[in-house]
Formats: sequence, C-alpha cells, structure tokens
Amino acid sequence: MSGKKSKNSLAKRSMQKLAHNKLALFGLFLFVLVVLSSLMAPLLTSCDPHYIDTTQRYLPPSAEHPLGTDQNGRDNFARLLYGGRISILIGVVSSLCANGLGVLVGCISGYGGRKTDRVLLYITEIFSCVPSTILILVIMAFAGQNIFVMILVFTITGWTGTMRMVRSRVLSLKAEPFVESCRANGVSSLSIMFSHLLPNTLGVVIINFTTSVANFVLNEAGLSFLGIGAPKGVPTWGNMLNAARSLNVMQNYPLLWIAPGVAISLLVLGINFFGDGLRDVFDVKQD
Amino acid sequence: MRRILALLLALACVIALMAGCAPADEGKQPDGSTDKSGDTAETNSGETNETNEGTEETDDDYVVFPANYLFNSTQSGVTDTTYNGGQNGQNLILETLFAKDTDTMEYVPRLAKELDISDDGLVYTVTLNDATFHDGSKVTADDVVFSYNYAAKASSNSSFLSTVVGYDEVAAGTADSVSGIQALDEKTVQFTLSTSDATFMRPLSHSHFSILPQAAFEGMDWADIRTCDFWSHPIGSGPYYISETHYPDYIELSRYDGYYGEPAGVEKVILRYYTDMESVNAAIAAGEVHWCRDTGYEDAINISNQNSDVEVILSDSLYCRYLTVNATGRAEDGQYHPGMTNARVRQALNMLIDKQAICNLYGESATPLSTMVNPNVADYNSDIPLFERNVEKAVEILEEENFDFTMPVRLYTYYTDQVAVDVLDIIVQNFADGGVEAEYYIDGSNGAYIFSAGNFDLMYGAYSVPFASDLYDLYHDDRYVSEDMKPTLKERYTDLQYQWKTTLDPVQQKAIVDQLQYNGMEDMLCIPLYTMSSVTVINSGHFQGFPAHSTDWMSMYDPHTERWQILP
Amino acid sequence: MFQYFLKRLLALLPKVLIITLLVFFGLEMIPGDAVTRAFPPDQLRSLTEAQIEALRESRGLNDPAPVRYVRWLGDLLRGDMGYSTVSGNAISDVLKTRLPATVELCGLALLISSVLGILLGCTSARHKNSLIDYFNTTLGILGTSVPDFFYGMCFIMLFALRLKWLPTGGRSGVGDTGLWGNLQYLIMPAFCLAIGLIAYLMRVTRNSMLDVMSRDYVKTARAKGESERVIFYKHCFRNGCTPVLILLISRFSFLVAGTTVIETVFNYPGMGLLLITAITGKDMSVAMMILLLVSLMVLFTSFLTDMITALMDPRVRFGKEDGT
Repeated sequence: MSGKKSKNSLAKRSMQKLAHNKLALFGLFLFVLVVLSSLMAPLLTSCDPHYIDTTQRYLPPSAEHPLGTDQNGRDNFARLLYGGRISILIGVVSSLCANGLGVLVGCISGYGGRKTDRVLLYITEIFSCVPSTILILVIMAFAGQNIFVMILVFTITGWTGTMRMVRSRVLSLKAEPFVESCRANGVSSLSIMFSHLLPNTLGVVIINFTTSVANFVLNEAGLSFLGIGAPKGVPTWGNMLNAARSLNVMQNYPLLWIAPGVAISLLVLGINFFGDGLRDVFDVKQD
Repeated sequence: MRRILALLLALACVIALMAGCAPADEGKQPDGSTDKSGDTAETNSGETNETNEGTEETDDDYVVFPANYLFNSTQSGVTDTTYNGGQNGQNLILETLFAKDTDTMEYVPRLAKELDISDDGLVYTVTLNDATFHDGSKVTADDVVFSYNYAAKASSNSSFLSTVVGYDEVAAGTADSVSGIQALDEKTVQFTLSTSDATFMRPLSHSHFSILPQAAFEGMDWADIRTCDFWSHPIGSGPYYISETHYPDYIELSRYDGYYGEPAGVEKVILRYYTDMESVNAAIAAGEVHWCRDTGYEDAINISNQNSDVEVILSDSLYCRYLTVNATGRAEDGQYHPGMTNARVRQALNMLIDKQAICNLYGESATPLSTMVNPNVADYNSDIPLFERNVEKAVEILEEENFDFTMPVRLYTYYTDQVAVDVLDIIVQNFADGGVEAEYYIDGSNGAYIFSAGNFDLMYGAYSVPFASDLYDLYHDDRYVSEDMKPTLKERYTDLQYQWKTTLDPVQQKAIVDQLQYNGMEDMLCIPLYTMSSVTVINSGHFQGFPAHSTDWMSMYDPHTERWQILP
Repeated sequence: MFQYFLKRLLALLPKVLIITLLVFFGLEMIPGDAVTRAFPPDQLRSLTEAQIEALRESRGLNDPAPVRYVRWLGDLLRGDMGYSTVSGNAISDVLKTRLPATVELCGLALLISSVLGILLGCTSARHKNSLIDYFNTTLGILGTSVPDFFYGMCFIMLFALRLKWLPTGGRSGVGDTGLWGNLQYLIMPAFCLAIGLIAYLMRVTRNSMLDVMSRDYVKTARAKGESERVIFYKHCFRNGCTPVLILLISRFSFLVAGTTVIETVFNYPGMGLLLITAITGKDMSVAMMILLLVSLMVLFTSFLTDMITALMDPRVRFGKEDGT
C-alpha cells in the first residue's frame, strides 16, 4: 500500500534529519555510554561493589581504585557502575509502565465514545492536580522503602502526560478518512486502535518515554537523597549522594559525590539532547 | 560548531562553580588533635573569629546552641520535660534539684540548697533555695511535690522513684500521688524510701524531674499537661528565661535577673532548631553555632580543621551498641533460628564479628567491647581479656554444637540511618567469613510490634546508662528470654543488681559489677559490639566557660552559666 | 464571562470533594485512631480498655464513616485541621508559620525565574542561532539535567562556607532586620528552586517570541521603517509574554514539589521541610494535610490559569470545550 511506502521514506527522512543534528547525536552517545558502562560493569571493574573493608576507607584514586573508596572501603567506581544499573533500571521500567499505561488510557479515551472519554479525562485530571512528588512521598511513607513500590508509585503518578498527548493525537486521527474506510471494511475497533492509530502516535510516545526516563532517574535520585527512596543497603546513585551528604565528605572526598552527580547529569543531559533532536524531527512543539 | 562551543562554555561555568566549592584548607588530612579527657574542659581562647558578615548590625553578645531535642516534632513549641531527654537548653530554663558538676563528677545542689540523708539511708530531706520562677512567683515545696508526682505518672523514667514509698500504688494507678514525697514546709521536701538506694541521686537530678510551677497547670488533668499551651512558652526557675519565640526557627533566651544564684555571664542565648546534623555541621563550620554535642566524630574533626576556633572534646561513657539475642525459642512468623537458644552458639557468633572493622567507621572515637562495659572505664573487669576476633575457633564451636548453617540468621534494627546499615552489612559479611548465612531488615516504625513478636534473631540497638550495673538490665528483658530461663537470670542478674543498688560500699559494688560481667560473658544474651566516646564541639574562639558536656544523660549537668563569657 | 466562570467553578467543586475523600481515606488508613494518638505509649498502657472506649465514644470515633467524613470536612472549613500524631499539636498552628515561609520562597523564585527566564529567552530569540542563543539554551538544559539539590550543596559550600556572604540556612536569625536581613536567607534556596523554571521559561519565551516575530504585523512594522529595537519591545514583547506568564502560573505545582528537596538542603522551615520531617517521623496526619493543601493550591492555580486565559482569549470562552 502506498501508505506504508510513504511511512518508510518518512522514517528514513527522519533518521537522516536526526543524523545531521550533532547535538542530538552527542546526547545519544552520552546516553549509550552511561548505560553500556553500567551494563558491562563486570568487564570494566574487578572490584566487588559490596565488599566492605573498613581499613581502606576514603582512599584517594589509585590504579586499583580509579575513583577512590567510600566510607566503608568499597570501590567507588564499582559502586558507580553497579549502582547505575539499579538507577537506570528504575528509570526505564517506570517509564515503560507509566507510558504504557498512558498510551492505553489515551487510546481508549480518544477512540472510545464521548462517555468513556469524559470519565477517563476526569480521572486524569484528578490524578494530575496532585503534584506527583508529594503524592510519591506520601505513598512511600505508607508503603515503606522498596524498589518495586517506587516503580509502582512512579507509574501511578507519571501516566497523565502521555495520556493527554496520545488522546489528542488519536482524536485528531479519528477524523481521518482512512479510519472511516477501515471501519467500513469491518475492521474491529481494537485492531484499528492498535495497528493503525497507535503507530501514528509513536513519535509523541517515544519523546515522552525518553523524557520520563530522565525524570524518573532524577526523581529516584532526589528521593534517595532525602533518605526516603531506595532502601539504604542498595547502591543507587541517589543513595551514594545521600551517603556523601555530610560536610566532611563533600569537602574532603569530593569524588564520592561528584561521581554519582556527574553520572546522573550525563545520563539526563544525553536524554535531553536526544529528546530535543527527536522533537525537531517529529516537529512537536513542547507544551 | 557554535553549539559545541556553547556547550563547552556552559560546562566551563559549571566546573568553575564546583571548583569554587573546594574547601579553603586544601590537603589537610583529618587527624586534628583531640583531648580525650572525661573530667575537665580545656578551653583555649583561640584567635577571635568574625561571625558571618550578614549580621553586622547585631548585638554580638549572644551564643547560639542547636536545640533539636528541645523543640517538639512540629517545632511549634518546646517538648515537655517528661517526654524527651530535654537537654540542649532545657536546663537553662528549667532546673532540677541537683545536677552533676562535670569538673568533679559529683552531684552539686541547684534548686536545692542542701540535702540531708538519714543514717539508715531511707529519708532524704531537701531544703530549697530562695528561688523564683520567671513570672516572679516563689518556688515552693508544693511545686516540687507537684513536679515529682507528675513525672511519676508521665515519665518513662518514673521507675527511678521505684524505691520511694507509695510509688507502686501510683504506677498501678490506684493512687494519684506518691505518699513518700511530702512537703514539710514551704521550703522543705522529704523523700521517704522503702529501702536504701545507691541510685537515688538520679531522680533528684534527672531532666524528667525538673521543677515546674504548679500554678501554671491549675485545674488540669495530668494527661492534658503534655499538650497544653504552657510548652509554647514555658517558665521555670533557671538562669535564663524565654524572651522571644520565633517558631519554627529559634527561641531567644535572656538572662534572668531574679535568679537566686550567680547571674549568667552571657546576656542572650539563642536555641535554634536544625532538621538534621548536616545543617548543624554546616552552621558550626560557618561559626553560626557555638556548641554542639554528639555530632559525628569525623565531622567534628573536619570542622575543627577548617575553623580554627572550633575544638573537639571527647569523653568516655558507658554508652554501648550491642545485639540483643532473641533467646525465647520462637518468633511469631516462624523464621526463628534454633541456634539462638544455645549459649555456646551465641559466644561463637560473638567471636565471628570483626568489631574493630565496625569501630573504624567512627574514626578514633569508637572502641570494641569485650563485655558490656567500656574497657576504658574503671568499672571494667580487668581480668577479662580484651576482645579478639577468632573465626576458626568460632566455626569449631558452631560445628561442635551442630549449628544449622543452612538457615540464615536474621538481624533487625529500628535505626534508619546510613551508618546502621553499614554496620549490619559488616556483620553479615563477617558471619559469611565463618560460613554463617545472615540477612537483615530495617523497620523504623513498627518497633513495638516486632519486639513483642520476636521476629528477629539478633537486634542491633544502643543503650546508655549512668551505672555499669544497669547495663545488665538488658540480660533479663522478659521479651527476649524464655520462661525456663527466668529463675536462673534472676539469680545471676536481677538479684546482683539489687544488691549493688542497696549496698553503699563501693568495694562490694565493684565486686558485683565484676561478677555481672563474668556472667554476661558466659550467657552472652546480648552480644556487645562497641562503645563510642561522646563528642562535644565548642567554638572557643567566641565563647568560653562552657563545661565539657557530661555524657551521663541520666543526670542534668550544671551548666555553670556564671562562668560563661563571650570573647571579644 | 460570568457564565464561564460559574461553569468552571462548578466543575472544580467535585474535584475538590474527591481529593478530600482520598485524603480522608488516607487518614483512616493510619494505624491507631485519634485517641491512641493523643497519648504517648506509656500513658496509654495505664489506661484501661473501658477508659479508651469511653474516650472514643465522647469524641465520636465510633460513628459510621460518612458521618465522620462530613464532620471532618466541617472541621476543616472552620480551620481545625486535626492534630499531629506524634506531638499532639494542632496542625493549623504548625502551618501558620510554615505556609508564609514557603509562599515567600516560591514568590521570590517565581520573580527571579520570570525576570531571568524571560530576559534570557528574549535575548535568545533576538539573536537567534548566535553563540548567545546556543549558550543560553545549553545552560538551560544543564540547569534541568543536574539535580537541584546538587546545585544547592554547591551553593552552600561556595557562598556560605567559602565566601561567607550568606548564611548556611534557616529563615531568620537574631538581629536580622530590614530587607537584607530577611532576604539573605531566601536568595540561595529561591535561586535553586528557580533554576529549573528559568530553563523552561527560556525555552518557552524563545519559542513564543520567534512565533510572534514571524507574524505579519511585525513584517508590516519593519516595512514601515521602525527600528528593530522598537519592533521588538513594542510589538513582540507584549504579545509574546502573555502566553508565557500564563504558562508560568501553570508550572506552580512543579515549584511546590521542588520545595521539598530545596528546603531540606537549606534547612528552610517551610511546608516542604515539614512534609519531609513528617514522613520520616511517620507523622501521617500532618503529611496528609499538607497533601490536601498543596493539591487544593494546585487546583486553584489551574483554575486561575483558566480564568486568565479566558479573559485574554475570548475564543476559549465561547469555543467548543475540548477538555484539555
């Protein structure tokens, strides 16, 4: 069908446009760099991030410990890499769930009748008038410090943005003639939603996905920094910042807080640059 | 091209910002001099320190103390005397009858003028000074009786009065006041005891038994006193009164000119609320706070390296951190490790722990414990050798006792801070060296339930006491021992402790404490871990005369406000 | 206009009620009840079951949930927000000092961010694609990528400890009177709060300005011979700024969320710090009350945004509601 062909060339053109955007490429590079180093942690360091040796506390950088050791004598570089796994995991999984939920609700709301739309929209508004950070804090206070709870809470509070975008896209697409023709041909609503409408909203969803990964990584860092996020025994970037919060560490052993801070910043920076590039490509004006 | 340039410029700004944050004193290793003395405070008047320039127009005649425990949880008032330790400023506003002098570690009179103890040690007669409360009304014996009756009902330390005649009825709820505490006349109070008590100076000097003005609580039910409005602006008989309140930031105390004793040397004291120790440390380093106790040791050394006016004073104490063993034989959720009921297993687990590694977390201020008693104090039983880790011997004993290595030992704590987690991580790692599997969980809010359900094998906690004999209270806690153990425990601990309390002969007391320690080493119902020196930080460039803080929080210390002086 | 106002107000009310219902439900979930919370554990042990039941009856705690909900709402409207589970103090007393503190902080942050954000955005738009433009944009992205508490810690170390220009934290100090006396405590936290907002405003202003600058009437003005500067400030600025200001108000909820971390870092006694202390201290009634207040504030600001947009843009009032 000619539709598919034009889609392919559209995709090709988008990729070309993206490839010329140097900043976006740089962002992608940063993101991939951080994620890959965390994933390949065992290859990059032979130290155990959990092994405590309190006679080796606060060592300066050396060949054995490229970023020094922390307050328990654990290798800082290893903790950075392995900790990154958990921080990134939290960010990515939460983002997948939140955006997945948003897409689902947005599709149903946009494509379903006025009544469904009204109800779902109302629910979305209720969810979005409570500032997510505060809702997260309160729920975690009830539910305790637990990574799964954190992911769940991020999902619950993070789906409204995607929902709105997908909904407005679906609404505008609904009026397109190709939808009419599908319906006339007897294609089921579900099939229309998932094989025709959804792919057209993909651009918006991908952008939202990347920004929400960045947001959730920052959120986790903030929560753990306050001491209310991931349980303290688990190494995450936020927890490393929390452990390095004392004046003594901040002033005398700066690598302990600069390392996770820079790691978070690089990841989020990369995502933001790449997201900007994507936005240019898909020609979406940020609301 | 431009974009890359812009990126580089922006990064340069950020790096400059971070570089600017480096401390002024680069390259100094934290090994500042410390003064490990328990008795005196050497205050050197160092070079004068300019307080921060943002407050040029202010009257410099004040000192600032952090007062986290003084403010209630929402910082809209002061905690009532029976609720918290209440130190950090409470003893400037409210007074106790007696206090400890940290120079001599003897009890000295404060609101009380003199004390007469009868020959049989059963009657304590206290004569009061001619003191007035901040509103001008006289302090009478009735106020004292009222305050003690209130504390007997409301304080968690009311058992300090357990030897007083009539206390048991109040504790049971059948009487409203303690019959053994009587006002003989306007200025005399008499305490009648049912048995001689070597610890009776404790309730006469503990912050929970501060003297309150009875008139302020006229007509109130004792249960309402804690939350009444008095505590947003309490009045007492101390050398300072509250002149201004600026909740939730700080309260300002001014010198009370009607004080019965010598007038205070400093005109104003600011008691400031800080959410956590980080903010206090930053404030001390900036010279905004002039005294603090129990900040972390390494933090204190770091601050004193940066700010030459700040000095660090360490004092030994009977503070101990230990693991309570659940020796009941059961846990409510069924995951109990059967080895915990075996004394030799407990001894072996004790040997597995690398206590020095844990102490390293605290720099030089922590010492490993062999018995529950700090090896640096006189009470320590010097016949017991100091602790040494021995993994092989431990594993040998565990194998002899058929220890179940496949089941994990469960550790629990109610502390939620990072260091507690680090300690537990170390213990788990130590156990692993001996092939013992272990895991831990933290629950800061559900403590009461977990204690009674016994859902742990080892619980990490802390205990601080004024007398070494009290440390062994932990060995006969009903919650953690089984019924059949109780008769033996009574013999080996409770009875000995009672003897210690009622004998007034120090030689016999030392022998009893030595015996308690032997018993403790055999039974190992609590695994002692380490003790920490109390760390006090004073800005002696701005302020002098403050006594080295007594580490005995069971008694208020005499702040010696008459010696306080602000240096020019 | 009035009709629109009324319509929106009526739409607002059910949302408010639902939020209060959720908060009430949250309060119900807190273990224990008002009686067990009024006494510390030692005293509680000394009361008999009968006494506790009697106290419960007298305070109406045994009534069915809907009755208690309505009563709770009534108390709320009269200003009685209940009591802290930990200290027993009235929550309204506690909030009395905290709310103005946070309002001051957010107000200053809004001021700083709007001035700086709009200024930088305008400069970027005027000199599009120049070095300044890219520099600003990059700085903006850096501002949102680095966590704000990181900046906070850096600022404290630099300005309070190293240079000693500003205090390390708190809201007031002894003898600090006058404008600078109070302002010095606000500057650093307000600026940290503002960083994220500045970045956002810069981008939005830039886009809005660029949009306006390409309009026809600007081209006409240029053809008529007016100088660039005049064109910019007379035409573009006014028209371009309006949507920005409206968007500014709608970002209020992010600002409030940011106060939790910033107030902790700077020990600034506002609502954010109170929330954190309440949560770490398991003082759930205070936490739920803050949740309620903040949600209501956010609802109110979005209502305000709607009203202002309607005032400015008549199309909204009469157009088909698309609900977004």
